[in-house]
Amino acid sequence: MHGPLHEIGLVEVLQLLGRGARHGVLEVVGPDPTTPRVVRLREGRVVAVEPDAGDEEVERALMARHLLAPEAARLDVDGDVRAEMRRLLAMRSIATMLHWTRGRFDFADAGAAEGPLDIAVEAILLELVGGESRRVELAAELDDFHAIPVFADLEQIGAGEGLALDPLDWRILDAVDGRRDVGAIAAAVDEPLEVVGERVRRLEGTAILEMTAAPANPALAARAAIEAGRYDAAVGLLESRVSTVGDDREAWRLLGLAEVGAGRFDRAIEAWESWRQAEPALAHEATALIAAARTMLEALRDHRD
Amino acid sequence: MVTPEGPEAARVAALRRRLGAASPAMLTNFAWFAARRGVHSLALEAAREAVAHPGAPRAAWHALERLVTGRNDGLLLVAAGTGPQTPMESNAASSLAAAVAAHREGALAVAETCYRAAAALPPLEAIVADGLGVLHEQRHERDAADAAWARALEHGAPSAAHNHALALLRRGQRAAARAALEGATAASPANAALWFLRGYAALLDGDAEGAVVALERAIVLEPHLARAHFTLGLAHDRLGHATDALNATRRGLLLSPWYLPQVWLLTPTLGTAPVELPAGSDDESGLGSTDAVLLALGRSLLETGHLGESLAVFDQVLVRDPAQPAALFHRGVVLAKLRRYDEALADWEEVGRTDPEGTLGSMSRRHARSARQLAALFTVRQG
Repeated sequence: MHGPLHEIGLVEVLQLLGRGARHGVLEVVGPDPTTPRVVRLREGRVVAVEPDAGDEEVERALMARHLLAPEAARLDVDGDVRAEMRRLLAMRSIATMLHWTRGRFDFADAGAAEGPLDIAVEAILLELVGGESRRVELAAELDDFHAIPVFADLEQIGAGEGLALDPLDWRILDAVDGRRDVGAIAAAVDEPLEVVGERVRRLEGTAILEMTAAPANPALAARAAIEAGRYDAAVGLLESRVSTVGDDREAWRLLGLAEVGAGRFDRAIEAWESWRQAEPALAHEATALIAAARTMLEALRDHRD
Repeated sequence: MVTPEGPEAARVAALRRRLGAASPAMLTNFAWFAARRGVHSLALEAAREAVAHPGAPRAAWHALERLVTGRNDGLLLVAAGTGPQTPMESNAASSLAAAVAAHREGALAVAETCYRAAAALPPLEAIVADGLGVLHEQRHERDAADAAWARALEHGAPSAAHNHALALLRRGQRAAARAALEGATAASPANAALWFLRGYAALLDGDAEGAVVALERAIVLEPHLARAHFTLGLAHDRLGHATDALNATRRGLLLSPWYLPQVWLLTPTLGTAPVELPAGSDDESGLGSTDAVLLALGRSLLETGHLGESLAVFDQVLVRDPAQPAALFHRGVVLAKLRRYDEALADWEEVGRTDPEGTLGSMSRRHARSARQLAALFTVRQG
């Protein structure tokens, strides 16, 4: 069983393997052909994701989370914590793979070997969908994760009821510096956006943190203008933005979109070329949009001729 | 509670107040946070409070060990999934590891606290007693050290015989040390550390032949024991076996650039090999330092005609101690053999000045007279 990911997504592949209770090795090659991933299945359940949830990555993640000492004479961690970390890394890796539209997969049947994980495919998909829904809800509450948490007043911090904070709460508090927004804190602690968003809201509820509104964001305003069909207004906002922050990838992308809305495909191509330069990871998407804009531009020119 | 100044410290202190009577895990995590925020005093206070609980997690001991030595980095969080670590066994075992770590860093007060916590587990009692013996000896509390070692020896601590004998040697009780080591090597004939110490004690006691026998036995048992090779080099040097001395010292240098003959052996985990804690050397025998080895090496090289190498070795000693009489004297000999009489003369005259009453001083004066004559000869020829 094999094929290109642009024809059959990994979601369908995993569902087929899960429902068929298959044993074997699924190799997935994404946009970067030098780093293939291997998902091992036993009776249709994911038992290993390598190398992203392999022993080395688990150790690295535990150290990054200050749960494991890097010294030679290290203090080991509880087996449950290690297992939980492996599961988190596996889920994150699969979530990334599910978004791949380029590359290929190859599944080979193999014996029913056990692995360090045991996750049903349906559970993976439900969890990922659940996370996505929570992210959308929290984005609305936290200014698209641009809201900035700050510590509450000393009196409030010290006067509330008793606290039950876990290591992630402490790491989030450690990352709070009055400048980072929720999205940046999630990146700093290397945890899912929705998980960090929920924790920040809880810490706000216990009067440890307070939220400050996101600073004026031209990209947000421009998006609203585009959605309202006010393309020239959006272009004005975005041109102002990219003239001061030349590497704002989202602003370049939106500027192209606004120019297309206004029917100026030549200027859209210029904006998206800048976007492609600023965000090489999405170069293929930018190239596709540029090609589309060029086609439209030529079509209009032909029509005028 | 100590309340440090500054807005950050005030915020951290407010959080601590909010936690109230927290669990050891929560206190450990708070210590991590306070240390990250640079509020060392609150971090240390929380870590101390955490380890005072019977179910303190290993991370709490780890935090205390680092904080007490002035470090704010490398602390650990206690994972959410980790239940209270109350089993005495794991707690005591981690206390022993923390004790040895603190001991190696010279944090003796912390080490002592951790050793006493580890003593709660009977299988660790002997190892703990041995560690406390070393600790008391370092503090010159000899009665307490001897009492601890008596317990350690009674319960069969693996390194107690070694450490106790080393203490006797360092106290100048060479005969007692040698007797103890004879008994210990008879009881544990496969223990290289004991055979090494037996050889070293013999050499200190002027018995170079006995030293060679014991040291060769240590090397057979543990071929990579650098201090045994170095000491064997010194013993051969004493016996005038220049080639054997040279070979042994060169083997030692291949294994380590440092000669550390006196090390305490501490056991951090039940059933594992001990770790070494350099004991330093305050004996007056001249056998306790890297320079002693280098001098022996230089002499052996000189005896075997390797003049260039020998010169380099004496130079190395004199870089650290420009007035070292033996190095000056022997470098003078090398220089004279190389017909660099003026330089030889300068070295010997220096020895005559710095050690006028000693054997080397009088020999140097004789050598200097000859060198002066030869130098004059060269001057005449050149003229």
